[in-house]
Parts: sequence; structure tokens; C-alpha cells
Amino acid sequence: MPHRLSRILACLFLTAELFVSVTRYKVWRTEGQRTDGVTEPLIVAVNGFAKPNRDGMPHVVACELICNHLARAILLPTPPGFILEKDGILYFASLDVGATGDTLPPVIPPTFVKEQPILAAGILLFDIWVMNRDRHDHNMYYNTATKQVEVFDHSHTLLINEPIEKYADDLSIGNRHCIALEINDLSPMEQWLLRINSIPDYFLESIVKSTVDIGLPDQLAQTCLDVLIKRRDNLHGLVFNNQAAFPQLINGWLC
Amino acid sequence: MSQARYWIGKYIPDLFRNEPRNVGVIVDVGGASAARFYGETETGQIDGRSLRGKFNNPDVYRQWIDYWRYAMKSGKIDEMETSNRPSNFVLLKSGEVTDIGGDKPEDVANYLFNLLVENDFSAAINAPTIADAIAFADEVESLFRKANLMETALDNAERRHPIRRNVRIEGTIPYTVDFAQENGALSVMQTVDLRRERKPAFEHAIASAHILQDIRETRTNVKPLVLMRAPDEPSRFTEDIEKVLRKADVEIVSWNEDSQHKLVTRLAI
Repeated sequence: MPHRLSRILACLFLTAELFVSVTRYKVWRTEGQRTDGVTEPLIVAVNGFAKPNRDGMPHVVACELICNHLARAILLPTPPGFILEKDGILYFASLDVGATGDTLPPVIPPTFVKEQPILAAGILLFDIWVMNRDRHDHNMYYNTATKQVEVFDHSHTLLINEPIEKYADDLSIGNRHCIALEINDLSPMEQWLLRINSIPDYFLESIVKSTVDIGLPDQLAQTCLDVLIKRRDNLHGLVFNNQAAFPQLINGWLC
Repeated sequence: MSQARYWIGKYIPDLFRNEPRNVGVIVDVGGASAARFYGETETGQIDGRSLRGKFNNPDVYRQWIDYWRYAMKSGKIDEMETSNRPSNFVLLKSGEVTDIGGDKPEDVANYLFNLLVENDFSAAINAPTIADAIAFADEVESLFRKANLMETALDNAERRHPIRRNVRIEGTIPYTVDFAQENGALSVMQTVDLRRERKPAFEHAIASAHILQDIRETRTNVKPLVLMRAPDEPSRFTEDIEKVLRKADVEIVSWNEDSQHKLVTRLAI
């Protein structure tokens, strides 16, 4: 990469607000302390939610795992996810957010877009990338007091669109995406476009192919990878050509 | 017969113990909605002091109020589903209130709030009617003031027969009447507002008839009057009250522009 271009890119990242989420998760209980190490850590059980594949949705676990890795790679605030196995059934698990003690309400989309335009743009662009047809006010948290944001639930992504290659050139976010219906300025998307475009092929291949270990057929994993790479490289075009899908848009992309 | 649909907002501080408390109501009357939540002042601000000790995190409670009001204003209350995810705050569709007459959603919300959240049944029944009664008496006083008939600090010097408000008058027992004027005869006036057609208004009207009758029978030269604001349409409710008042030999002054003028003229003499 030419030196000047890399400097420009570095500057763009430095001027952008970096969202390294320092989320506090709920500790369910503590089970003692280890005394055989220098730091003497507590043994804790942490609260979380786990979901398996379901009838009619045979690839939930794979989609959740892929999207969790991708979201965290571009530093979207999303709880860490991992695979659990119980009684022979695999689950995608994610940590339960929030140390407030009380459940947060669903997001009020217009408030969220107004107060967090950069994150809103990032979440929308990510959802376009992974073909998320189910972003609504219940699968995001926004604590208006602490300004903490979390996105979760990516079961209706990627392979929910069957066959996935048929929808590879569509926006594929459904017609009720809660941020798409409220966003009025696409300019914050630029920095997220850079982040997504910077995800290398090998990273995507490793993430997607790892789901073969949890039951995703080889051929389907390859198709999913091809679509992800294609959409990564064509995200700008997908957004540019579908700006009519954002009814509140004032400041769009001209080229 | 109009009716209101209502939802109750509940708070469950401990999901394991699952002991919900009512914290608010949302009401819908034919598409017009209103809400009232615990800790809100009359201007809709949250009084943080009242939340202390009642919520694990008052900031989260405020956010739930914001969300419920947003759902109400954007017409999404009916779409709100109870999430499978356990939550410390839930909104439950609770039923309907029938026969609300001409009550506005705010009135129904206040009534249900007092009944379901504040647990004050007496306040629930009487709050809007008491407010109406005071408002009507205020309106009457305002008319008397404009006509320079109400008692002021200057009286005895400038006004010979002032009208006084909330006057203690002896009958068989002492009563406090809405207005009284001594001008040769003792004019004793009670205000009765029947627009809501509620039981407390009915009982107040009947009590007024009794009070005025007793004062007239106990003292001499008394002119009892009921200043009555009735609903626009005639009703059995109003007719029954008028029967009782006429039987008590009480003059009824229907509260309209013409009768107001005549009353003022009469009392000014």
C-alpha cells in the first residue's frame, strides 16, 4: 500500500471516534477464589443467553457466530459470543449486558439515531453487510443515562436468506429496519466502510470455515464466504443504489 | 356508551421473587391516549426524590417511561409484545373501563392511576369531581368579582352587602356553604356541577338540597339557591336532581349567560 495512502487511512481512523466497548456484564454468582496464582482470581458464573438451531432455522448458531466475530472485528459494541454444548445440542451464547440491575427498555430509534449518529450508521452498514433482516428496537440496548450501546441477535442474517446468493446484490435488510427508517445522514458511514473494507479475506475465510466444525455444510460455508466477500467489496454500491430505502434521508451519498 | 382501553405498567424489582408493583397506566379512548406514571409531577417531570428506595435504578425507570410514552405517541401500544426475555418492567394490556361519559383520556388515566397505583380508592372516585366542583365555584366567584360583588379587604367601607365564599352558617348543625350574602334576606348559594354525571356529584347535589332546606327551616328570611351547571343534553340524572331540589323548595339557577346576568343584577340590589 502506498505510504501516503496508508497515512491518510491512519488519519481517518484516528479522527474517527473509536468505540471499544467497556461493557459490564452481569455476574450470576461467585464460587470462591483461586489462591494458587499471583492475582488470586475469583471464580465466577456470568449470566448469558444461549440459542440453538431451530426447525426452519437450521443455521442460527453459525450465523450468530460469524456475525459476532465480524461485529467485534469492526468494534461494534456487541457482547462476546461463544459456543456451548449441552446434552449434545450446540448453542450460540452471548453474555447478558448491563450491570444496572434492572432491564433496559428497547431502543427508541429516533432518539438513538439523533444521539448516536456514528454508531447508528455503523450498525446499519454492518447489517447491510451481513443481510440482517431483523434489526428492531428489541435487539439493541441504549442506556440514555450512561450512553452505553449494545447490539445483539444476529440469527436473521446471512443464511436466513435462502438461497443466499440470490440476495447477494440486494440491500437485504427487510423493510422495517429500525435504523434505516430513521437515519438522515450517511456521512458517518464512511469510516465504517473503511473498517469493513479493511477486513482481510483470510479473516473472513477463517471465521466462516470454522462453522463447518459446528455443522454447517462445506459448500454452504463456501457460498456464504463468497457472498460476504462480494458484499464487503460492494458495500458502497449497495448503499448508494438503495438510498430510497432510508425515508428520512437528508444528507445522502452523491457518488 | 364510550369506553377506554388501558394498560398497566409494572415493576418487578426481583425477577426471582416475581412480586410486581403497579407503576403507571396508559389509557386509550378512541385513538386519543394519555398516561400517568409514579413519580411524575403535574408537568410530567420526574421527581427523583420520590423514586429513591423504590427502584433498583431510577435512571432505568425513567427510560422505561420514555419508551412507553414513545410507544403510546407513535401508536405502537397495541403492537407491544411481552418479550420472552425476563424483564423488570412490563406493560400489560389490562382491560377496558366502560361508561366513561365525556371524560378525556387524561381524566381516565388519573382515575386509574389513583385506583391502581396510588391505591387510594376515595381519591380515584372523587378527584376529578372535587376538581370540577372547585373549578365551578372559582368561576362563580370570578363572575361576582367582575360585578364587584365579592367580599374584599375594603369591605364595610365600600361594599355594603358583599358576597362571601365558604361561609359557616348555622342550621340544625353548622354548615359551610359555597356563597352567602346578607342583604335584608340571607341568600345562601351552593354550586353544583353535573357534567360528569358521577355518583359524588349526585351526592353533593342531594346534600346541598338538604343543607339549604335545613337552613331555610331553621332561620328566617333565607333565600336558598343552587347554581347548577348541567350537561348539554337533558338526562335522567339531571332530572332526578332537579326533582329533589324542587321538593326542597330550592331555587335552581341554571348556569348560562342569561341567568348569570339576572343573578348578578339581583344580588347587586
